[in-house]
Amino acid sequence: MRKIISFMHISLDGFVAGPNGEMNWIKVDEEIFDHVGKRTSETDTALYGRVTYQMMENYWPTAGDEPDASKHDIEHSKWYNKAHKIVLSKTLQGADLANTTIISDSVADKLNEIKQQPGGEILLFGSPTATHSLIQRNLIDGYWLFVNPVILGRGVPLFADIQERIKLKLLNTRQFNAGVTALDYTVEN
Amino acid sequence: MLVIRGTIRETLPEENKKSNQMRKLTFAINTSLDGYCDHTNFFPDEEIMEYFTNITRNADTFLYGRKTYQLMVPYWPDVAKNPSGDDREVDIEFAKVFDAVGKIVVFSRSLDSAEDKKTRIVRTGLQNEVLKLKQEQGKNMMTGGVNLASQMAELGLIDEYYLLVHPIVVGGGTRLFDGINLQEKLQLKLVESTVFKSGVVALRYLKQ
Repeated sequence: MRKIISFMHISLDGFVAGPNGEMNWIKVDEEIFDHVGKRTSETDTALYGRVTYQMMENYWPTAGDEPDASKHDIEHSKWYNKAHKIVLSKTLQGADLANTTIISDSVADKLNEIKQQPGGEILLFGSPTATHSLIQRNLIDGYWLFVNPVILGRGVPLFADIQERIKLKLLNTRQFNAGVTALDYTVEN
Repeated sequence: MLVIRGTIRETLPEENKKSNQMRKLTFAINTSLDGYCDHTNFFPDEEIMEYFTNITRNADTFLYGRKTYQLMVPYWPDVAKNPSGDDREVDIEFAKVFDAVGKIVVFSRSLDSAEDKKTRIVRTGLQNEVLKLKQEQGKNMMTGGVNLASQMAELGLIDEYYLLVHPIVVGGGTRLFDGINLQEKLQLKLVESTVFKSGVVALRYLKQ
């Protein structure tokens, strides 16, 4: 069965954004992009909440075409345009969007159906609100976290309203020169 | 995907290694992935006990809040003096190293008296007291627990952070750095990460 993997940049105190949505503390560089790109290229499916999807949609379709596009821009733009995009939203209309499935109800059933289909990992990029709701429905199978060397004090937590303990198994770690540590977990059932 | 089979340690070059005239305040704690630190969540295995023991070897002073103090003392000094059949070798070694630390400063408004002669109770003036202690000659100072450490992090007093992240999300309890009021976010520098067989990751940071 395919797995839904939550991909997040987090602060050392477990926040994915500051109190006003700030994300300027997140460190990314070529080394991190290459690492992320490798795993991303092994699948063709992305999952987003509405807000993150709209941010992505505003940038990635053409990011690779800009004159100052970086290697990462070109690669991820290409990947994004080809990828099957699953968006969780009650309000988005978009039956005509290419490669895009919008899920507005029966989220668990529909995602479980997609998980049964053949294919690679389903990467849930950012999207804290969608992530909270999927965690509560036990739909997240793994966490791929990029721990930034910063304490924010306040903000939007990755884990919110957890009802039951989640036992994890550490698969892999990676330390980057930027001071970021990637922690790769799978959820143990 | 690589599977973790043993202890793996990665380090990054430490800058500013030139001898600082002031000694460091080191903070070390076990935490869940979601930042909850209640000690009942964790059972420190032998690798983790040894890791804490080695950090403690560099210290000659403990700074504690009341709760952590009462959790540690007289428990560990007793293990050092009279180990029982239940204590592992690693527990006894930690107890000895703990007991060898010469000075304990407890920051508490409510604690009436200390358990032993090496403990001093301080009621107010956390920042001044810690700055004064840092200027004294000696090895590093070490702290643990959540409330006092969060206050000291807020005041920028902690020089070195060891977070031992356990592979569990617990969802509630005492959260590290909860609601601390930072003028500016606290930027740290990663110097080392150690992965244990249990899936615990020890992250070591220095204050910038």
